[in-house]
Amino acid sequence: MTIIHNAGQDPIIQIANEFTVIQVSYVSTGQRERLLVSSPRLGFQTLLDPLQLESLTWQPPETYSKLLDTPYGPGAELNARPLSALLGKD
Amino acid sequence: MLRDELRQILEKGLRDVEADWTVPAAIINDPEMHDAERERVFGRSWVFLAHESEIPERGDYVVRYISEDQFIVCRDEDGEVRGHLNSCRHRGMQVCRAEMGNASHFRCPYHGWTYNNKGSLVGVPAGREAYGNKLDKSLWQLKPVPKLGTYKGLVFGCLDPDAPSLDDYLGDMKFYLDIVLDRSDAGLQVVGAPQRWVVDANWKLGADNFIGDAYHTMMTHRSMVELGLAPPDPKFALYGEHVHTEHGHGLGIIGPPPGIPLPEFLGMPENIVEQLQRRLSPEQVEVFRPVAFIHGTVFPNLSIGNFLMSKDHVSPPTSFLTLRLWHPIGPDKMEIMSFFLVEKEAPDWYKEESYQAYVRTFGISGAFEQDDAENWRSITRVLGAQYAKKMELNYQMGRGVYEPDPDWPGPGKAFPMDYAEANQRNFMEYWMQLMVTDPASHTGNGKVSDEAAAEALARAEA
Repeated sequence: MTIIHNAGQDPIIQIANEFTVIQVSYVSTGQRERLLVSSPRLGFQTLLDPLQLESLTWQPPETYSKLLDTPYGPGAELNARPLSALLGKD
Repeated sequence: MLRDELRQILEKGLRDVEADWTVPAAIINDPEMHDAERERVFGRSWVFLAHESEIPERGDYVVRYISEDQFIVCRDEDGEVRGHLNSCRHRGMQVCRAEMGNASHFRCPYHGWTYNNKGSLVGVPAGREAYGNKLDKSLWQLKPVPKLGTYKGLVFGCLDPDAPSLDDYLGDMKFYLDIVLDRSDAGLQVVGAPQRWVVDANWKLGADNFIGDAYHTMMTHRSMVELGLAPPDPKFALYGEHVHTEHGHGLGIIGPPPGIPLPEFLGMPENIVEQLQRRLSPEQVEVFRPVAFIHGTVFPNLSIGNFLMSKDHVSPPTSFLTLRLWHPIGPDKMEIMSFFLVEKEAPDWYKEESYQAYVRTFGISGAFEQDDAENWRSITRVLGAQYAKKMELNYQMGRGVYEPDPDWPGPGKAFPMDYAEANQRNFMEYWMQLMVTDPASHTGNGKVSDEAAAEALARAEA
């Protein structure tokens, strides 16, 4: 674990293994308190509130396997288009 | 199929080891012999992979080897120990490139195929676009070790699905392994990561040395006596029992030299002595009570050293336990992995003294280890040459000097002194038997015998 100190801000906790790096930091906007979990490599991030975090505590390992069905993030938005569709348009 | 020349050398070797107590020098450093050995010895034997204490928590893993096959040995999310081939099912890339770590899932760095630590393929990047979601992931899990077994904390793997069980394979050797592995209630822990280093020597020389070679200590380790790190009698390793069992296993159990008082039970801490007297059988306690050194090899390449030695010339001797793996990476090259183990419940002062005694005598910087490695390098270099390869090596120690000891309380074939070579002959004979025995059709390592291949071809042509 690495703790990254930002001047004037809460520190960021970074944990890593040989497969990825993830950063966790505390975010507060007065009444709202959340954890910001971000993947610097893939560019995704999520803000988790206490109830969401609580729900993680009883998930079986299979839940996370299911979440990793798309190992580099959601792929469903990709719209494959053949290069041939772009040829000869001019 | 074994080339005729190799087969003749081995078949003559088998006759000679029994009749003349000699062993062909060609088995040490020959590329073809090494190729055959990978399949015939390492493809069929139970090979030590890890100690359970190296992967105590869920997700812990180490990468370990059976010949050149590498396996992820891990504790899955349910706490079960597993072994997976470290090779992605897509293109064969190493899935884990770190030699140890902790992960619930492994993600291949080439294309991102992702497996959980049970070995199941759970994720494929762009699964919808690239595979139309039609890839049946259940068919593409990481290949498991064909057979995985654990004995008293030692995790072994075997590439041959038809091999005998680990329990049968270890057989009578378990009586002696228990003395080392099972003498305390909480068991052993490996401390730190194993030391690893590469020596330009054939792996069998390490196995041969530890299984029974008490004789070399008088010459090779004479300096340790002079330094006060070994008992003052240069023949300190003579006074013991020399024992071997089936499947090539063997060990030497050495007591105190005459007139040199040493503490009972390797001078282990009182709480461990109390536990071992309760846990071990009366025969095991009797065998262990006078011990100063235990050295042995579990065929093929796991050796044990449980020694009473001083960390320096003024300190009293302290016992330590090391396991070492002679991992072959060529006919003339091995990687040594040296593990230091200690009873989890031993007091801290003992753990520290024991570690210091180990690290100053064995391991990369240990004086004993360096003495040995230079001999093994030299032997390997010499026996790689064409004329030297044709020599027979003398394994005749003890011939006509003594008979098996009828009074020994433990199993196996025992001889009443440790300057003997019965264990080494037993090891080499078993090794040569495996080498001349053609593998069954399915050897468990993906290779198929010539007969089976011919049958398959005939079927295809029909």
